[in-house]
Amino acid sequence: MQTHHTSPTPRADALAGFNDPSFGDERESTIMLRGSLVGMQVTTYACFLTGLLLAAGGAGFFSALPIFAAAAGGQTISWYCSKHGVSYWELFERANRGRRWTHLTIAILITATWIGVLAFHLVTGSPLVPVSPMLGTDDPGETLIEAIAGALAGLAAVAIVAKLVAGRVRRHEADAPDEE
Amino acid sequence: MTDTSTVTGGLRAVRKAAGLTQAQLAGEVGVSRQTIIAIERGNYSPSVYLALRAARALDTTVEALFSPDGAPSTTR
Repeated sequence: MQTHHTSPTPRADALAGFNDPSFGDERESTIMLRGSLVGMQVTTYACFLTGLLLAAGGAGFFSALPIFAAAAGGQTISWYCSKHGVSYWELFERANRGRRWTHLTIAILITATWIGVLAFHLVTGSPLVPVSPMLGTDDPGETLIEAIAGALAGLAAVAIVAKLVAGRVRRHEADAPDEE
Repeated sequence: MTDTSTVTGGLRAVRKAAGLTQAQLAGEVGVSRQTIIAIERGNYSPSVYLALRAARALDTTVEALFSPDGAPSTTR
């Protein structure tokens, strides 16, 4: 994506890679941006879900960390928009009622569930889903090694799938005939 | 937020008349072939810069290539 004017947020643009060739041409970059927004929304809910799972597993108030981390996305959007002279919150006020209520309902449900799970832990003294017995070990060193091995295996699997998918897409696009 | 109106017009006809394939035109104006396909189908409205580059590559005017949805395009 080419930006022809001096940006008030050059470091943020560099971080996002707006001027990188991977953003493609103007149509592709628009689709990339829209896809990124969808991705950010999914990531936000994934962070909420992680917080819930951590709370259920007995992480206590540490389970709030991913929920706070999820807020960083919205704050960054607001900051970026204001730097470019766009009021994010003013625009958000114009959101149609259905969209606003959907997001509000999900946020309330997740927060209520999170508080409920924490309250269960506080009242009963044990988490909703005791994780330690499931892992079968109390040795933190061994658990850490297993976690690292799992993360590496997951990363390898994601990299292989991404490479296969990208290869198929490239072949499909290269083989497609000229549309007449 | 999304402007759902599109521009359609004579890009395909002018490109064919110029003897260019979609891939060749894409190379000339610096976009992907999929973008040319999307424009010709009326699925994507190009920016002013891209429209000007396409017009220059095909040695014609922007008006000859694009017109607002529904309006007939003018030819030079």
